[in-house]
Amino acid sequence: MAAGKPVVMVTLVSSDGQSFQLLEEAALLSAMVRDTIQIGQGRGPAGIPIRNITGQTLSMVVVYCNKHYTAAAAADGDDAADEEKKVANKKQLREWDEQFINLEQDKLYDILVAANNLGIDGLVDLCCWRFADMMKGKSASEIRVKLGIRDDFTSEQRAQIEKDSPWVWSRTT
Amino acid sequence: MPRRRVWQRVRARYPPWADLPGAAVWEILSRLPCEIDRVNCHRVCRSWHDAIGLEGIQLPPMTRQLPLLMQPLAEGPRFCCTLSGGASHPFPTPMDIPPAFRHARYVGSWGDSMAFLSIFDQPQGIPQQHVVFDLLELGHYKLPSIIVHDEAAPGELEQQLWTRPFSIIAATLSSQPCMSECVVGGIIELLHFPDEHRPKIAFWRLYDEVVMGYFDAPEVCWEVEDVLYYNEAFHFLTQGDHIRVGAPAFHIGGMTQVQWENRYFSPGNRAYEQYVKARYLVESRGDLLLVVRCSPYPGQPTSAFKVFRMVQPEVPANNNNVVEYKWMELPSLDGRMLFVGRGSSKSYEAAAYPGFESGIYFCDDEVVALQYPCTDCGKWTEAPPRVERCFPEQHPSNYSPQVWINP
Repeated sequence: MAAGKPVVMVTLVSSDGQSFQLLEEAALLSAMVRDTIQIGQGRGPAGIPIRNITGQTLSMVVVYCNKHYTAAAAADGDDAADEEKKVANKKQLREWDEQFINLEQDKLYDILVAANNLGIDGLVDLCCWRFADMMKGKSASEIRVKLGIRDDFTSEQRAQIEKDSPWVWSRTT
Repeated sequence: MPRRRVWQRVRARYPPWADLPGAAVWEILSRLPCEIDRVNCHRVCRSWHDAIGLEGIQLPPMTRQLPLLMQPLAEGPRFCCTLSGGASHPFPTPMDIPPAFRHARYVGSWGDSMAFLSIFDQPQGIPQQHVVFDLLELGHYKLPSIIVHDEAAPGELEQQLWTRPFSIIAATLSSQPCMSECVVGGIIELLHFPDEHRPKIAFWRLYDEVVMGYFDAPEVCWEVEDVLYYNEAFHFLTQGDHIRVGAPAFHIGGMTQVQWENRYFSPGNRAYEQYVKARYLVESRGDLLLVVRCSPYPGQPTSAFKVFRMVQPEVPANNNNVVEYKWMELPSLDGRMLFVGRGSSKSYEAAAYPGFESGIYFCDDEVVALQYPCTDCGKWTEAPPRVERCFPEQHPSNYSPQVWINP
């Protein structure tokens, strides 16, 4: 981090009125925050209201942004000199990510939707990996039971899908 | 109508997974490398299904499926997916498999989702039936389980026609089983000869009721261990790392005529510091590879592999119809993913599978004290050389070893 650079803080306000202060540069990981600041808003004391995201979820998102911002800043400070250290840091961050996202499915849903709405690509990616891992080896009906989804296909649609991919359909419904 | 609405509100559950943004569903699907997983997700509900065609964006193209590891569990076989990190697929579930085949011994696999099965009425008994079982269609082709031979039986001098049961050790097909010219090339063991356990070669047509005759090895180093159909002929790998190439021709009512070519591989500087557990023939990038599976001592788990490429000789065959070939050790796997199993080894390119690297996947096809331990399976990587256990653990089986199945 360049010395003497002024420290700018941003406040994010959750749907249930909780506010979170973080470095602007950390908040800029979100495309939505970036857009808001670019049009000259959000720097005021009122902060940026984040709709549809509760304080509980937003606090997790803020933790993620802070961690990834500090990791990126540390990597910049190191220059390219120590390749080995860089690889080690990357691995450490990946392990942190894995632990961070090791959540039960309901929390994962909230974080995924929040990351999607805020436009935090890294976090969307992380949630999707974790979620894809949870789906592996499960049949459609197992997924429905696990996530409480109703089978809302009409019989014509089902016939069409069966035609498109007959070999798994017959077995695993 | 109002009653129904109330009911729905009670049933509505948070979070509403069905309402997941289409873009997020798309992102999740694109992170599922296995087609079976993807198709299952498509079929969960309408909104998930519609996410596939989202703004015409195509999902990353599917690659060819990697083999599934068949694990023989007490309730029936389980199929673990290499692409899905060892997760098991209902492909099919034990209940889908006809009861008569549910606890059959898997002696190999062929092509897309075919498996060679030995059916027993009691564990370790005499096979009642051999079949090629289609795990997709759940249909089967019957194979013979009786051999007829008109030369002196092993251990006897008198030349007379005899009939005995046999069991298949490994087998492969020359073509799709629906083709009339489909031939089975098998490594078999004769039963009801107490002192005769050496593997033999036999050929038969898919619809033959009995196998007519077999071919024995002249010496131990020509005893066969693995079979591969390659370049329109059956290639049998022997204990001495030699290859017997056989092209059978069938005559009505007569014995099988086989044109043999014996490929002798000079030992050269080929030396294994460790105990050789098994040998496999694999076709890869147009070459024939010899894969040697080693462990420090007999009875210990697999610890290393060595891979060699067949090099054609420049000199023609000598008088005994023996041609001298060479095995050249490969310095590295060079992006290959090899799946080794008797009669069913396959080679894949790691570059086509994001997140995968070169390595050798192996399954446990051993039998110890009338049981199948089913523990020595996993993946071997060369740099650093190590074995990774990448499939769920299972108990020893009393009916089958593990095999690879190509879905």
